[in-house]
Amino acid sequence: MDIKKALIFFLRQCMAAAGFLFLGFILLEWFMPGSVLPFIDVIDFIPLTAILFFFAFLTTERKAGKWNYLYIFIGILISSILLFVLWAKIDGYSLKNVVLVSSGVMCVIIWALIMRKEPVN
Amino acid sequence: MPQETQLQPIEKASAQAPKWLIYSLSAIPWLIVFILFIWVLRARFPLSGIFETKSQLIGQSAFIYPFLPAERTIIMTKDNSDWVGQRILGDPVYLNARIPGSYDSVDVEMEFKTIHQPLVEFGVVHDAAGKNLELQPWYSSELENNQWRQVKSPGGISGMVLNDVPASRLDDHDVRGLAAWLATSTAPLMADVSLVTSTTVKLSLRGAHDFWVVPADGQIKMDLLIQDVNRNRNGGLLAISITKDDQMILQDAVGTGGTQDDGYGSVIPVKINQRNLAPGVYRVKIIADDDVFIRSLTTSNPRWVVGPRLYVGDVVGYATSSQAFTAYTTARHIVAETFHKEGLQTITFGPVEGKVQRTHTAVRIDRDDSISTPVVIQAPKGDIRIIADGFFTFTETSFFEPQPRRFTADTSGADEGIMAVLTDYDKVQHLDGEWVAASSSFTVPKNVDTMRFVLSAPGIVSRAGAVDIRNITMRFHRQPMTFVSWWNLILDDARRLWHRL
Repeated sequence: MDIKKALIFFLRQCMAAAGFLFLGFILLEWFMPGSVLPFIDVIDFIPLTAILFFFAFLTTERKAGKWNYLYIFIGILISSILLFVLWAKIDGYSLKNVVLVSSGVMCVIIWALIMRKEPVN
Repeated sequence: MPQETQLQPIEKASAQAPKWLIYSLSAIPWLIVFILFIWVLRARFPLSGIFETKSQLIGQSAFIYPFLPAERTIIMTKDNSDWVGQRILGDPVYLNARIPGSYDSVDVEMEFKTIHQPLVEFGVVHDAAGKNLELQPWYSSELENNQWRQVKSPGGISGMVLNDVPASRLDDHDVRGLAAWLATSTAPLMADVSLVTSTTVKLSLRGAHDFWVVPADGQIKMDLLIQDVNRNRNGGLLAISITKDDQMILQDAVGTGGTQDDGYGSVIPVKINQRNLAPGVYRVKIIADDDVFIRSLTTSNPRWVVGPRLYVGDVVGYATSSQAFTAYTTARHIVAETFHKEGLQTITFGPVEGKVQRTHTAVRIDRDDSISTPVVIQAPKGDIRIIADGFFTFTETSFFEPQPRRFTADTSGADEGIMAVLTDYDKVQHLDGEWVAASSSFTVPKNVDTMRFVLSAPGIVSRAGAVDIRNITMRFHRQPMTFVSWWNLILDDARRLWHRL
């Protein structure tokens, strides 16, 4: 197997496992309250899961048409989750932190605008 | 002419990895997921059969919630105190605990300290209405005294006795000098001869009361006159039960008539006549609401008492002048309360007095004398509700003690002539400073997700007292698991889940 393809395969398996773990814990806690949260804070899994999804998403091939808009939407969604996690972790509302989060938001917007150009298949 | 050969671009040889290696490495994240799930399941369903959870009662535990109602408690944090936990200021307070699966029993351990609060009880609430309580003795400053030691009598009865009193005192049916704290006892075997002339006592007892009677010539004969004062209904109900050592002897009910006229209902005679009774002490329970009055009692039984709750009502609509209340009692502590302005008065309780100056406000009156015989209690205006640690009678000669005195927060033990206490109380374990630890075990009910506990600190508000709790530990127990028992456990939890859905 090509190394590049192998790495993408491994990354996607990590992404799938993290997503399965996160959703599995949520469902288990929902059906049997007290079975997960007292032992593991599921919220701590969100940043790692979001980062894995982000990198796996980057390896996805863009397609023309409505699939391109779906690609942009998913990119915005994952970026928003990462930005939210960052915003929740930083203390206070200092100028530095506001500039940091605003920059992230602007990067996402610029990326979405660039991605509007249809891919050449 | 030689043909031109077109040069093909040379493809770079890409690095290759064996598929088995890639698939093996890709299995690692799934293996981690599997291990994490197994770890969570093992934490949730411990193989040892013991699940332990702790809480500081500040709302951070998934299994133990803080005490409620909130207006009777204060959450203590580092911001307002040098300790973290919950301070109890009212009585009673309730705590909900989530049951983490199918368990048989739970050990509850509490680290606490008391401020101006000599007695604490803790237990389980078995019904939604909060009436069916299983309370256990939790802390008593009196019994923590070095004068008392914990014993088990030759007859197997648990209790506390003074150091110079033998454990066999707990087996003695003589109730004099004996108290009971959340424990029952067998009544003494007593029998009398009937009075030649029946005694009639004018009363104004309101609602439910317990009469304790010694049979005379094997008979209990009581004639009551009752009156229903509720004009808004067409007759109420008065139920009568007679028991001996919690065994039912008789159950009956009487309609009270009632009226929708302008005046009160007429006075109705109710006769209780039970024969062929063995020696002992019989409890005649009158069950009625507060609109039913007992206006008089006529009996040929020489010995009978009422208590420990006594509600002396007014005589409006029955007599033209107020009826003073006079009785005899060996009670040491009473709590008196009136619900009408007409009931404001000074109560004489043996050598002490207590002033009831506000309605709907409990007044504690305590005796500190050493009189062991019945003393007079008087309420000149009647219309008063009294709850005591002893019993009352309306003629001095008819007094007797049917049960050990109730051990209360105000009981001062040896000073009151108490030499033994029937109780399951275990002395607390002393920790750092004033903190102590107490524990007890309770049965976990089946097919429920939560247990409700109650903490009772009688008189805490009137004493301006508090109970500080810094930690509660609950250990749920069941049999250690094998594969078969684990499978049955999964099925049990699935059934509970189904019921919840």
